[in-house]
Amino acid sequence: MIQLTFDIIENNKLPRGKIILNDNVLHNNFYDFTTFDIKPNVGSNILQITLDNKIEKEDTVIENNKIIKDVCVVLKEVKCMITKEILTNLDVSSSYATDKGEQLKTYGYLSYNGTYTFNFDYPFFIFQKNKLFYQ
Amino acid sequence: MTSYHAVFVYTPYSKIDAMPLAPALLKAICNQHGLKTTTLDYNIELQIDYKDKPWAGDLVSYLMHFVGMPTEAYDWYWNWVEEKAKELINLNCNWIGFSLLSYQSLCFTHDICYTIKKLKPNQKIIIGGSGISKDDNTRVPFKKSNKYMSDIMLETGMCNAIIINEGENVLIDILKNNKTGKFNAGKQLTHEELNQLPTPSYIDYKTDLYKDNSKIFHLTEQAVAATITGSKGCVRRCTFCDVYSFEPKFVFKDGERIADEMIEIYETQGITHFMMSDSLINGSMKAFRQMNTALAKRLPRTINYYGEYIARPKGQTTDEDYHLMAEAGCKHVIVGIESGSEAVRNHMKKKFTNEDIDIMIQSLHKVGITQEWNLMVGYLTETRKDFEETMELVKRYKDIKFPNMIVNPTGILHIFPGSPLFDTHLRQLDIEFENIPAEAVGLKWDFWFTKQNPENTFENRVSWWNELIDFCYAHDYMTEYRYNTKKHLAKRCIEEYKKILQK
Repeated sequence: MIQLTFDIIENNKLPRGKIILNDNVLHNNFYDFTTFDIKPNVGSNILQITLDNKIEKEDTVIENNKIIKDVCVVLKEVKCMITKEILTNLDVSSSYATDKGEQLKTYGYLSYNGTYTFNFDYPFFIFQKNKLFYQ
Repeated sequence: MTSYHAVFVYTPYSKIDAMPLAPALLKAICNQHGLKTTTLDYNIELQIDYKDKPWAGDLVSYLMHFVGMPTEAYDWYWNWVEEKAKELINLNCNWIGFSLLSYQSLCFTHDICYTIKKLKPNQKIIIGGSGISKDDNTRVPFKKSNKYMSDIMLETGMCNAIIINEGENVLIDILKNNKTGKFNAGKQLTHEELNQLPTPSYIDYKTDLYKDNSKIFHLTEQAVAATITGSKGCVRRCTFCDVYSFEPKFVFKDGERIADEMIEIYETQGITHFMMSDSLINGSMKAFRQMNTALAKRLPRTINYYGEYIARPKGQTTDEDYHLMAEAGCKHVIVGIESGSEAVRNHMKKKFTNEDIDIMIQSLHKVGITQEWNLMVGYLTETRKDFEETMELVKRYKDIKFPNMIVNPTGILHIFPGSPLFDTHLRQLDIEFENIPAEAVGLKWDFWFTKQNPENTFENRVSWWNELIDFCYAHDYMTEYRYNTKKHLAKRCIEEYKKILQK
């Protein structure tokens, strides 16, 4: 069992989107929680987290070049509840494609409408041995 | 419809010796119950396949210590694992069983279980052997969970069943009734149970692999050898050894029964060479004499055997015993001499003097039994002077040439759980462990220090070890292959240690 921990940032409305694991939609609504459990397969897994209700002009408030209000989802932690391993370096095997077709490095920060895709192997102690992490 | 009830696979990494016992014994037990099974040894298959690769040493370090390896090695290895996973799946077995000799078999077992489950999620997998029974989670990066390795493997879905300790009595129930979970027989086999075990069946192993690759006496002679168990547990309780923690009683088969097994294997499977898996083949002098007498009488100088042997105090082993050993087919013994210093050996509780060693060395040599000494470096109380006594010991017998005498500088002292040093002496001997991440090269239990012997630091220990490796090689007491492997390991230990200290 893996627990995803989020920071949910709202500005008059909650962010909304889907959590999809291996093409199975596990959640499709507002992000009104900060933790979410998923049960991966032994082997390769694809986790997708989407944001679909952001209206940039309305939801993002900038003052003095600083964002003071926003609507976004931040994937803070991916933790195996069995081994207590926490994945770091999420960007090594992830991509974030916005609806405008941009590919961004986000470090788990979803602040544009789009899909964050995270490829990982389970259990994590196998994933951690992947050459991606020591090249 | 499945083709087999089970396939039993011996997993890397361990030194290649004889054909491994566990799968052969499990097969024999299954035969008794009408279950169709087969056996494979991936330890030898993997080592043959990578032995000429330039990164072979790096792959060994990965398998033993979970450290990274070059990309080329990584790609080659994972392809190999996938091929083997497919091979096992294609055998169409109800259960795939992995036998783990030690914690050094864990890394590969993780990888193969992962790959099988990835390819065929509902394939049933069972794991057993000392490598999982000790439930050592110190070598993997999730010790924070405080969970045993066996529980981690079951809960993450990497396997379906795990047998802790002796599996002989629970295996059939699991295989027949598809039971899942963790099973612990909770006790050692008794003398009667040990005597009643069937003779292991080696017929499914790919014997050519051993004929071409297994230097069973660590000499030039190559042959196919079967493993036989005469006893479990040990009559000594050496301070650095953990055998007592999982086999607290010394239990042995009747000597006649051991001889019967060897003769049956010789007659039905055509195998003439045997390795004995006992902690000490002469742990029980009574059984050892019985076995040698039976072999010498029924098959004089026909089969060959070798195993771990202890130098006994003067008078406990007679000239007649040595002659009987030779007549029965004993060709080679491995002796845990460990140190040339009596003071060090006394602390270890080895219970033999330099005079006892001398008598043993000369007696074995006289009857033509080759001997191999294991020497340990950096024992807790060892000083430079003690270490020099070990070098003196090696030099003293320079007239006995390789391969009649072989010296193996095995490594530095690990102080690990289960050993008296760890379990009962830590405080008394002021032993502390450095804060070294578990995934470092070398065991976590290598990085100890004690105020009572400040010169015995990790770096000094490895440096002495290096010195002894060079010394033994210079005196022609080890093969080039062993020399290169040991040097590589010693070099990586120091490099990784320094790297960690810099972080």
